[in-house]
Amino acid sequence: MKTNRLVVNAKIDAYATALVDNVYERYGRDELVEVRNQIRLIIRQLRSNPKFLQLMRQDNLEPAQMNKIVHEVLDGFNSVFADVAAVMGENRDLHLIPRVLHAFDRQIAEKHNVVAVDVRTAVELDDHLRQMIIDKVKAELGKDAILSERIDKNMLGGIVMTVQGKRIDASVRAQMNQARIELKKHTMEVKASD
Amino acid sequence: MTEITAQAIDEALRRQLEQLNTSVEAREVGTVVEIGDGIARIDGLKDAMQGELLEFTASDGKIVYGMAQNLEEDQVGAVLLGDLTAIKENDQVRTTGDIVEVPCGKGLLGRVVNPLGVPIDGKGPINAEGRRPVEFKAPGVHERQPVKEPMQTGIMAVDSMIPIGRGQRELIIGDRQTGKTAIAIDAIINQKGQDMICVYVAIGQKASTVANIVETLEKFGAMEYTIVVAATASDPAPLQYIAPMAGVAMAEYFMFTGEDGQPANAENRGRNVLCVYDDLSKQAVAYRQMSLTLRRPPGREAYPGDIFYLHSRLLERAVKLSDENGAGSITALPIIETQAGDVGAYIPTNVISITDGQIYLVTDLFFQGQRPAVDVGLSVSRVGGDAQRKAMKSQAGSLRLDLATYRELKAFTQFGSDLDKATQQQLNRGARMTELLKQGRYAPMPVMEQAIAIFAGNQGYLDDIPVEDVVRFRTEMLQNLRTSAPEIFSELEKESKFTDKIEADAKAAIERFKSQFAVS
Repeated sequence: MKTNRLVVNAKIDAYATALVDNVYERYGRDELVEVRNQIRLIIRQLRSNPKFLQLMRQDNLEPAQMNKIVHEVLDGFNSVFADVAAVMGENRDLHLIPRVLHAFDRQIAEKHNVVAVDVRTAVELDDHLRQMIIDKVKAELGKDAILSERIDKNMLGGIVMTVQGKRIDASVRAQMNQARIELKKHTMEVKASD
Repeated sequence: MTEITAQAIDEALRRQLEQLNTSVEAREVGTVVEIGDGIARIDGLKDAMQGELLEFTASDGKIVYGMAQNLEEDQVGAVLLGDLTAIKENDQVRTTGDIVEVPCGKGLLGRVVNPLGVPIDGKGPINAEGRRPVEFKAPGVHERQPVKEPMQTGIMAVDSMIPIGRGQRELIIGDRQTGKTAIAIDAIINQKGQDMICVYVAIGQKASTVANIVETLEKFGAMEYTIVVAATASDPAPLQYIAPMAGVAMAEYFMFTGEDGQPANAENRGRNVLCVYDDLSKQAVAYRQMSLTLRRPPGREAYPGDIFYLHSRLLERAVKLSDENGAGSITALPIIETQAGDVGAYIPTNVISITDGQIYLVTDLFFQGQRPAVDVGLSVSRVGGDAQRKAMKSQAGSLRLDLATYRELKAFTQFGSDLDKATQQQLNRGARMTELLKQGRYAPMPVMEQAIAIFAGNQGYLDDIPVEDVVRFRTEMLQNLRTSAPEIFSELEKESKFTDKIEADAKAAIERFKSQFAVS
């Protein structure tokens, strides 16, 4: 007999499968990353907005009401995602969204040989750099990369890439921070030895 | 004096920047999902290790460190070791690949540090010789040897009847305000010139109390060989939780290395360390708070199920290493505060069962003026007897018997029956021997002086001295013997036992002194 934990895992896989298969069939491979970004946006909102979280946890709402609310909240989002989220709302499973995202990432890598790469840069990427990143990911992970780009002026320069939960920080800011730590450490050593 | 020019500064900076390693490495990242009470729940970090140091980056770029505790299926529960208010939901967390470590070495001697090894005494940075992990497995059976060298506290009641050996774990237990810390501090002060390094770990105490202790240690020149690790009452629970482990990690460095900083072995002797944990009840409370906020299931008295293991693995790190491993040692003096004398509570019974004996302090004795307020009937040392000096052992045996008989008869005489001469005599002796054990604070006594004092009592020289004059008699007698017959102490030190000659000389010297002693 399955344990409760395994039932939850099976549910998460089912939601993720529904999302991945339907988005791929209807909109193609590139839309998978767009949906992924939309899920992440909702997760950020859930974590930082207590009122939103409270609404999603309402126990006194009928499943149909919950479905309607979720559709209204996700108006403008990918329709497959809105539908799956509405079903999750009906089943009181919206708290599982972060875990569905992990399963979603895993499934697109397995089924479609694709990994989403979050790229943060101080200035916009050019096509040459984009191709370099895609080639590098292909060489390292053996999978096609779909880039999700974001401009962050605070970085000063360089690039920060996040792929499959790992971050490679090659930003100017991080390097300067590293230099600051090293210089401080060295100064402290000199001071202590005096 | 070297002249500092702009060019020299420029060159130095360039040199340092050239050495800078600018390589980029991939690190796992996660996101803070929930934060509160010093606990963060993190999404991601699938490969985080138990106890791994995590780096939290606040939205303003501030870095706060934490320690991974609960590795769950979809989340990691971590405790924050720094500014609790800086981190918010959605902040990034990354693994560091390191377990929490503390700096170690001689540079820490004389310093007051927090449980992460950061100095808090305003005396500048610490020049550490190395770093050691806070969590470390205790040495195994074949790496140890039995406790055989004494660790003198300088307190007569302890050294005579509850002897402590190097590598032993001796619990100091009692209610509040019974003198638990005083015994530990006296023991530290007595280590001066004894080839011993001391680590005093203050957990959940007032900062003012810690400051007083440091001042006392400085006053008696004990800070030169002491490290104070302080997690005060205002520090977060995780810091209070790791404080004893941080203290013993610093101690282990000295035990595992020789004077030259190289690993200890048969040729390169490891050092001896005394580690005081003041107190483990507060650490247990901090751990309980941490565990409950981490949503671990509560057990007896709401403590988590692994509270016994927490204390046993800490105290198991107290050890006397074998000669092949350098023969270094860590002696642990954990302190436990009881509530209304209840030694049957959860934490006291746990620690009593882990340690090699306990010094039990009683409020009633304290207020009767019997200080240190050691209940010699309930206090015990399970392994220290093997380490006790023979001279002291021969005298302490009869002292223990005298006091046991005294306690029994004293209870009996409360019924008011007439007493025969022998009983009266035993009561007299007991009262004087009990008085003899009174000792002021910060006044440690060398072990041979303690032996002579007990010898005088055992031989009946105190029997006709009024009880209120016993302490004065002891002090003046020892003072007199130090000047008039110093050879008794040196002979006793050399022979390490009472030979017929030493006994005869001592008796003669004590009689000589007694004839001049004026009772008040």
